[in-house]
Amino acid sequence: MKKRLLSLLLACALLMSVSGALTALADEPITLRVYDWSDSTLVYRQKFHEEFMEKNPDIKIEYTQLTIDQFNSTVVGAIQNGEGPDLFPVPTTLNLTTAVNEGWFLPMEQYLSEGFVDTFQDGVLAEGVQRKNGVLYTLPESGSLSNSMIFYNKDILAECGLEVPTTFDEFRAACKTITETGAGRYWGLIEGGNQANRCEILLRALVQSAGGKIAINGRALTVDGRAPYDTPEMAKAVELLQGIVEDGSLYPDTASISAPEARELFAQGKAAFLCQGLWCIGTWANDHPELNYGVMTPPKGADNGYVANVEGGPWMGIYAKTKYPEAAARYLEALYSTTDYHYQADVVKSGSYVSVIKGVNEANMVDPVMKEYYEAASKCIDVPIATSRDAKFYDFYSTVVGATPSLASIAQGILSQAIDEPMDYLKALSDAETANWKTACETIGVDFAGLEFPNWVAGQPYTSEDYAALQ
Amino acid sequence: MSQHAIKAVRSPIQRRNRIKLNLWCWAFVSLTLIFYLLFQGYPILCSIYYSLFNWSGMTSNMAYVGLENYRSLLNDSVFWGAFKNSFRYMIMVVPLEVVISLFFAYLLNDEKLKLRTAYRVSLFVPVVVTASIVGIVMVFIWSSNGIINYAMKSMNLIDKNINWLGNAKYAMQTVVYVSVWKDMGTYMIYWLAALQSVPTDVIEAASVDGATRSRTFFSVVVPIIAPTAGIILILCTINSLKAFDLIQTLTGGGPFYATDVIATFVYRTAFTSDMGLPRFGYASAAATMFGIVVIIIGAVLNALKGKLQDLQ
Repeated sequence: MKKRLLSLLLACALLMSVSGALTALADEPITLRVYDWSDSTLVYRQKFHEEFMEKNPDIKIEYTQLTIDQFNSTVVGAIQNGEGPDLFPVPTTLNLTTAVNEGWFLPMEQYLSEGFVDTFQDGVLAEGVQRKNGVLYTLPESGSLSNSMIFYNKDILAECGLEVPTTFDEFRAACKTITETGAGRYWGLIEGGNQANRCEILLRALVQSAGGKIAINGRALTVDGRAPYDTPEMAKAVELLQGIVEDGSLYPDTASISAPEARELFAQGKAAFLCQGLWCIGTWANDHPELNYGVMTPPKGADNGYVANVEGGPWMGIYAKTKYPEAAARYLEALYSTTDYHYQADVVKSGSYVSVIKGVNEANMVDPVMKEYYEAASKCIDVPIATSRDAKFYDFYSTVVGATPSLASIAQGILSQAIDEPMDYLKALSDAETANWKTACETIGVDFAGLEFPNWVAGQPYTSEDYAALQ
Repeated sequence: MSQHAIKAVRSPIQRRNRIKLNLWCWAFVSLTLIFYLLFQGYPILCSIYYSLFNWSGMTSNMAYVGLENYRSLLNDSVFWGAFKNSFRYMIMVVPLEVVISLFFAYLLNDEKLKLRTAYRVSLFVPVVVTASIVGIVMVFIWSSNGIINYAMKSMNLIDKNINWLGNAKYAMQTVVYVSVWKDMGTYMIYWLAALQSVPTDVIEAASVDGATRSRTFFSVVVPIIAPTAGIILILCTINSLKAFDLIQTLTGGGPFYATDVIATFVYRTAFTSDMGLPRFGYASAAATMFGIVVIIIGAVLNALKGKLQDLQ
C-alpha cells in the first residue's frame, strides 16, 4: 500500500514538473538576434531596444555589433549554413541582387502592416537597391548624404586669422599657415589614413572638385573608354595632397590612425580640417559639446568642380531562415516608427544621420551644424551610375576583379609618402582596371560601352532624362 | 631448452608487448591527433580545394578554374611584395630573437643573480599579453607624439618626430622591434631549459682550467646546447613566416604594403575588396603556395640540423 502511494506521489510530482516546465517554455520570450555595424548610433539603438522589449515582452532582443570585416569573416558563413541572425544588413561587399539570389532574405512586405512602406520618403525604397523585381527585401538605414564633406575647426581658423578656404590653392595655403601657427599644437589636415577607403573617398572628392569625371566609391565609370584614374583632374588632386604632405601640414600620425581616431583628434583640436561624413556630428555632440566647428564642401580645383551624391545602399533585411518573421517585421516597424518609438527622432536630433521617414528630418533637425551639413549636401549632384542605366550591371560588381594596387591603396600611399610617383601607379591602375572591367562585361554579357556616359558634362547633375537619351 | 626454442617462445611475447605498447602510444596520441585533423588538417585540405575555384566565400556559386588562381598569383606584384616582405621580416626577426633571447637566458641562468625570477617573469610577460592589445598600445608608444620619439629627441638621436609605423621607411623595422620584444620570452624559456641541462661540473672544470666566462660559453656551453638551438631556429623561422596578428593590429600591412606579409595579404584578399567581391579562392591559393614554401624551408632546416648533429 505504502509503495503504491509513494509511486502515485512520484508520478504526480513528475507530471507537475513537466507541466511547469512546459508553461515556463510557453511564457519565455522569443529571442530575436540582430547583427549590424552601426557604431555611431549605438546609444540610441540600445535605448530603442529597452523601449521595444518593454512594449513587447514576448520578444527579447539580442543585439550584436561587429565591424564590417568581422561581419564578413564570421557571420556570412553562419548565414550560408542556415544559422544566421534573424535580422542583418547586406554586407558592404555584396549588392542586393547577389544577396537575394543567394536566398538570404525574405520578401518582407507580407509581414509588414499596411501603410508602413508609405511612411518612407519617395524614392528611397528603390529598385535594385531595396527591391528586386518589385519585391521589397531590405530597408535603408538612413538618408544618403555625401560622406566627403570637410569639417573645420572655427577656433583654429580664428586663431590663425583665416577665412574658410574655397579653392585648392587657398586650402593648401591655409593648411600651411595653420601648421606653422600651431607649431606642434595643431596641424592643417587630419585623416584616418590607416583606413584606405577613407583615403580613397578624400581623393575622389578632390578629383570631383577639380571637375574630373569619376564614379562614386566602389563603382565603375569610363571616360573615353578608360578607367579615369590618370586624368589631368586626378593629377591636380594628387598634387594638392602631395603638397599638403610635403608642407608638413598633414597631422603626423595620419598614416597610422583610423577614421574614428582622426575624428577624436579633430575634436581635441589637433587639426583644422577633416574629411568625413554626417556621423561625426552626433559623436561630437555627445563627447565634445564644446567643439566649435563648421562644415563645408571640399575646396574647388576648377570652376566646374562638384561634389557627387552617394548612392543609397541596402541595409537591414529579414533572414530567409528565421523562425520569427513576424517578430522581425515588428522590430523593423518599431525602428522606423515615429508615433510609438523615438529612435528616428533621436538619431536626427543627435545629428547621427538623416532619416528616411517622411517629416522626421524637418521636425527634429535642431543641430545647427547638421542643418549646415544638410544644406551643403543638398548642393551635391547625381553622377551617372551604370546600374541605373542597366540593372544587369549589378552582376558586373559580383564578377569584376579589382586591380591592385587599388585607388584606395595609392591614395593611402600618397598620404603616407610611401610612393614618389603616384601618377605612374595611377596610369597602371587605369590600364589594369580598364582590362578587368572589359573582362567582367564580357563574362556577364553586357556592353563595355555601358560604363561610358558621353552625354554627361562634369559638374552638371545627371538626370533621368540623360539616362533616357542614351537608350 | 635450446636457444632456438627460447627465441621462439620469447618473440610472440615480445611482439605482443610491442603491440600493447604501440596501442597505448596511439591511445595517448589519438586525442591530439583528432583535434589536429579537425582543426588543422581539415582546414588545410579545404584551403587546397578552394584554391581551385573562383569563389568569393560569400556566395554559393563556385566556379572551378583549376590552377588559374596559381597562374594569376605568379603575375601579382602585390603578392610577390608580400612574399618578399615575409622573408624580409623573417631575416630581421630570427637572428635578433634567437641572439637576444639567448643573451637574456644566459644572464638569467646565473644562480648568483638576485631577483632572477622577477627578471624572467618581466621578460616573459609580453608573451602572455594578447597580440592585439600589444598592437594597440604600441601604436601609441611609436606614434609621432609617443614616448619613443620623446626619448630619442631627449637624447638628440633625432631632430624631428617620426611616425615610426606610418612611414614606409621605418614601418617594417618598427614592427620587427615590437615583435622581438613580444616573442623573445618564449625562446628565452627554451634557452633556459637547454642551459639548465648543461652539467655544472663541466662549467666548474672549465673555470678551474682558467677559462673566461665568454670562453666557457662559446667553447663549452654552445656545443652542449646546439641541438636545442636547431629546434629554436626552426620554430622561430616558421613562426616569423606565419606572423599575422601583431602586424595586422600595428599596420594592417601598410603603409602602401610596406609591412604587408603573406598572412595580411591572404586576410585582406579573402575578406575585403575595394570593388567587386572578396576573392576567397585566390587567397586560398596564396596561402597554399606560401604554405608549401614554408614546409620546404622547415624540411631543409631540419635536414641541416640533422647534418650538424651528425658532424658533432
